[in-house]
Amino acid sequence: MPATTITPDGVEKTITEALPQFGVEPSEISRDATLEDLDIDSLDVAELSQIIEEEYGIQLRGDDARNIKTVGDVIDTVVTRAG
Amino acid sequence: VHIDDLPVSLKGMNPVTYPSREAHAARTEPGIRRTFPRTASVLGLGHYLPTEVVPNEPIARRIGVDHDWIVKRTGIRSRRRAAPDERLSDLAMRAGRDALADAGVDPLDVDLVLVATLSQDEVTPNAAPLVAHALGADRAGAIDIGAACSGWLSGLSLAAAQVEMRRAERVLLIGAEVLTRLTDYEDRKTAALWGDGAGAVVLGGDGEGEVGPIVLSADGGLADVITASHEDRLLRVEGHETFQTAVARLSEATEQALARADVELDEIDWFVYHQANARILRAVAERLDLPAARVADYIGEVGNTSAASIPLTLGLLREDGRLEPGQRLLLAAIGAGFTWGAGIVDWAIA
Repeated sequence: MPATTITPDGVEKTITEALPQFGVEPSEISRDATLEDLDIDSLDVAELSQIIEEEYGIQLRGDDARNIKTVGDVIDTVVTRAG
Repeated sequence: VHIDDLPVSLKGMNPVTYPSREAHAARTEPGIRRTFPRTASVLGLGHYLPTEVVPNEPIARRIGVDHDWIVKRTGIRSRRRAAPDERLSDLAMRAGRDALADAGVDPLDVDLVLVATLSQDEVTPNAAPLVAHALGADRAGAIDIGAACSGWLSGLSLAAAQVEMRRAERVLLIGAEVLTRLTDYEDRKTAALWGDGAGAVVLGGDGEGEVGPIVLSADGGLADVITASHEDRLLRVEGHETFQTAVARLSEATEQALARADVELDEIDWFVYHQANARILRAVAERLDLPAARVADYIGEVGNTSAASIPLTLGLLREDGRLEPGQRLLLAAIGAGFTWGAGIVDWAIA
């Protein structure tokens, strides 16, 4: 039940808007920023996954989460999944 | 039998599929309120915490972080640790003795002692017979219940049924854990999570209040998400899967229990969830739109005590003067297995 059409720009916007909920400074967010540097841990990624699922109907799995290192990886994973 | 022929192997499980909201809705059928020969109710409550308080600092130093890092990730500020010569059965016995005294029940009048735990002292014997003996409950049957963090709630369903069907007059139901003995203090994800403690209730058929419907569920397809093997005896948790499954299933079970009891969410005075992790509880509260003031929150002081968590939380709520006769409680837990469930209890003791 994708509520929203999936485009790379749209996903980037969703994630950029969601990250400050986890205490990330908006100025620090970029595609190349690593989740570790942003102090985003595995449970944050799980919470972020729920936001993504609600918006796009796509579930990020544990294996996805373990392979994600940067903000760009999150965006690419969602877009690829939408494939 | 070769391992590959077994239906469930902990290695190479089927891909995890998370419960979707549609599946959740489909499973939440309006319940049928079953009737029993009589009602089971809580006659007494007790708990026990070991005296040693372990703050975050020593754990944080070992994993290269600080106190605030642990608080941000888990909500936990300290936990209790059993003394080296304290056995799981000692913790369970103390909580049980407290509950029997609270109920005014003679140990010789107890028909059944149930101990929910995943950290019994030996592979065998189980904790329950030792606890029954130590309490002088010499007439009672004694059984351990293994359902990880859902063990005590599972036991509540079994214990209530014994009373409802008149197979037992008095059941002592204890949840107890010494999880600090199963803690990997090198593992950043879990080193700060676990704590020791115990809680107990006495159930009977002649009290006020009621143990209402309890829904229990399980999904062994997720068996490799939370584990402790016989080999290293250390708890391991896959955080992402645990978080997503816990939030979805606790929310689902909450709605199922409410539906089966024909009770609305705003008729619940206390939501007493297994104190797993502050972030899981917050996410469940957000998903169900629960008022924060009615969600019991003691994880900061005791950590995750698995099967002891719900009765211990009830004990701490009462100690703080916040648990009162006439209140309606929703209890819910999820743990390794996965196993999970939720139930409604009308509380009647002071």
